[in-house]
Amino acid sequence: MALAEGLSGPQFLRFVGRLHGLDDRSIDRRREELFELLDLRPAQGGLILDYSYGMKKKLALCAALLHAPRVLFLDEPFEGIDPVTSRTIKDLLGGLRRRGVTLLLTSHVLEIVEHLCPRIAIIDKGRLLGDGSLDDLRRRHGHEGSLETLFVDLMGGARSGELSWL
Amino acid sequence: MAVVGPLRALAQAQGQALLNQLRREAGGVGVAGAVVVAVLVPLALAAPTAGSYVAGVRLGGLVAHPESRERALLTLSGLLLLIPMGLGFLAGVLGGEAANGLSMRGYPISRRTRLVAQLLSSSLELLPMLALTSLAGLGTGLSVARPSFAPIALLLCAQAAVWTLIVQYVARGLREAGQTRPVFALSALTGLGLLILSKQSRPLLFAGGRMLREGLSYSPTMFGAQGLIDMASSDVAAALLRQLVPLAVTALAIEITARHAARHEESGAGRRPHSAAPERLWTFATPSRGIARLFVCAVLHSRQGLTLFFMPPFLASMLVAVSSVIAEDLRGAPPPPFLANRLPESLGAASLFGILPFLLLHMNSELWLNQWGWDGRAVRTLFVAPIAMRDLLLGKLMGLGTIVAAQYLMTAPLLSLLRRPRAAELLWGLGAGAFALLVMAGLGHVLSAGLSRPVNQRGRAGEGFAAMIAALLVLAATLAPVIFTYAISRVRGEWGVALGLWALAATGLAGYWRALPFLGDRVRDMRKQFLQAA
Repeated sequence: MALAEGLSGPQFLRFVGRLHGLDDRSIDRRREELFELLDLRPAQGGLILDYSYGMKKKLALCAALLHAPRVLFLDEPFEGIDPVTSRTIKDLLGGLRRRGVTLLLTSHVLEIVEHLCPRIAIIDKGRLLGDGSLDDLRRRHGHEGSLETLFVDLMGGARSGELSWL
Repeated sequence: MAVVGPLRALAQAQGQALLNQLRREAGGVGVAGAVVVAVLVPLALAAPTAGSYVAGVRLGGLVAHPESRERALLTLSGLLLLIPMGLGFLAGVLGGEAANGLSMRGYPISRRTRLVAQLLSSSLELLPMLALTSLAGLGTGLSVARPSFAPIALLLCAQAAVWTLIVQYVARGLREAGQTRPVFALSALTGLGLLILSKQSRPLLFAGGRMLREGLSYSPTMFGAQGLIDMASSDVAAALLRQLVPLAVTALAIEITARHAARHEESGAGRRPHSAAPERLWTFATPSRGIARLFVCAVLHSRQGLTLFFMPPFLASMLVAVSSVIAEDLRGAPPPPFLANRLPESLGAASLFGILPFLLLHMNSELWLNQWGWDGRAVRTLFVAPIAMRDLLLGKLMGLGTIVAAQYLMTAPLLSLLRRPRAAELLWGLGAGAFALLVMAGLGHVLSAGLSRPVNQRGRAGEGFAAMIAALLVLAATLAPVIFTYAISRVRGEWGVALGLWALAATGLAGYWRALPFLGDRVRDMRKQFLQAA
């Protein structure tokens, strides 16, 4: 989601909430809950362009959740997020999934994908290399290890070597 | 609590962002600072608006006169077409991502609402705002010249304002598709058209002027502008009927744009294609040349930098156009308002080419006062790289000099349409400019270290006022020696002034060279401070 960097976090969420047809009171109430849960404490009057990368990620997640969506697309939601908030987001997404919300997330943090996603698709340069549950993928590719080792194998293995000048 | 509609929400968010920016520009000093900046921004728009107003009053007077009617209508029609085309294209190419359709696709609002919001939000950017205020000035001028013109004049100018926004939207789409060169070429052609129109009697431009006049005779704006003649003879119905042509064109333009926007969103097209060509790495003979190139690229690859870069030729074009409209000398036509009738004469007498380099440098005060900021994150790399501070400072000086020289080469030929420059005048102007560049860059290195901020306008409290005071101090430090030298060498004529100011520039160069180690030490001392700010 493109953030309007000239606004403060609360101003941006009010803007997004209004576009989703929410009234201002509901927006403010939900924003307070989201900020509390995600431990997002922007400086008074600070603009989004001053936020750190992690804060921007959290704010984008707040904006995505504000209107209680039934389908949620998340691009690398754990990138730049501290471990504590990362756990909070993981629990939150797990709860949404149990309540029937459809989640589609892209991530390179394969450990989280392994625990969070009932269905996994591995894509390399726009080509689908595998699709299904982790067990399906393991069975199909004759693999017993973690998602990470399966992923690396499907990609043709990790490169190794030494640098000529070191 | 009531739900706020999408257009109102978008408008309020835009207004809020603008207010935030004003507060930020004021250095976070609260409402008082924001008010100061809020006054300064309209002042920047005042010159083209006033110029258009004067042109409007003059054209209104000329339209009312049978002898001058035809040429005045052609000029008015040309302005109504060329202002939207020129500034709209430039705004589309140089503008920010605020009105980018793809960035707003995720929201549950209709395409038409989104398009209207994008068009309206883009009007808050500098170049469309310049076009809109210029058109407002033109319309007001026409209305003041003859109050009965008001309905038609304002309707025509309002439509031209809509065309500006549409043209910038289309140009932005072309830019996103990687088609920047054709858009620049079209902008340049439009600018040329404006100049041809303003100087149609010049033999060199005669052929182009004739073609342009032929084209303009059949343009929708010409149909609309002829309504002014009907209004002069109190034939309101005919005047309104004539407006059907430009109104139909406006409606068609809106419809085509809306359909294109819909197709654009559906296909997700418009993203710049990745080039398959291998990256060409820079080569440079000395570290300072490399730094100069880095600085120039940092400036020209940013929206503010490009706007700043093209502002002098734009203002010069406006000056030429307005001066030309005023200079139309037709018997029986009323004189231009206020002191404007003396504008062409004053411009002819003023040492335009002498003061031009000096003016250009001061118009770039954001560049020399924020030299490190324009490199953004590269500053970190520069300060940990094995580059001598002397090379770094020289590189910045060369970068500034390159930018000002390019602006000079764009602006001086435009001003030469007003009058032929004198050789001695050109020389003394360049001498004064060279001296000013050295002083500004020298002091700018140190001031920029103390007031460093990235281009995205992150600032610290009080910075806005501190920067303003610093700019005034540097202005005094450059202006006083130049005026003094000018005054004492004037007795030997213009060539004497040229000699005196080049001597001053040579003294400035020697002084800069001697001060370079001290400047380097000073910047090194402040390195930590501006690394934190970067």
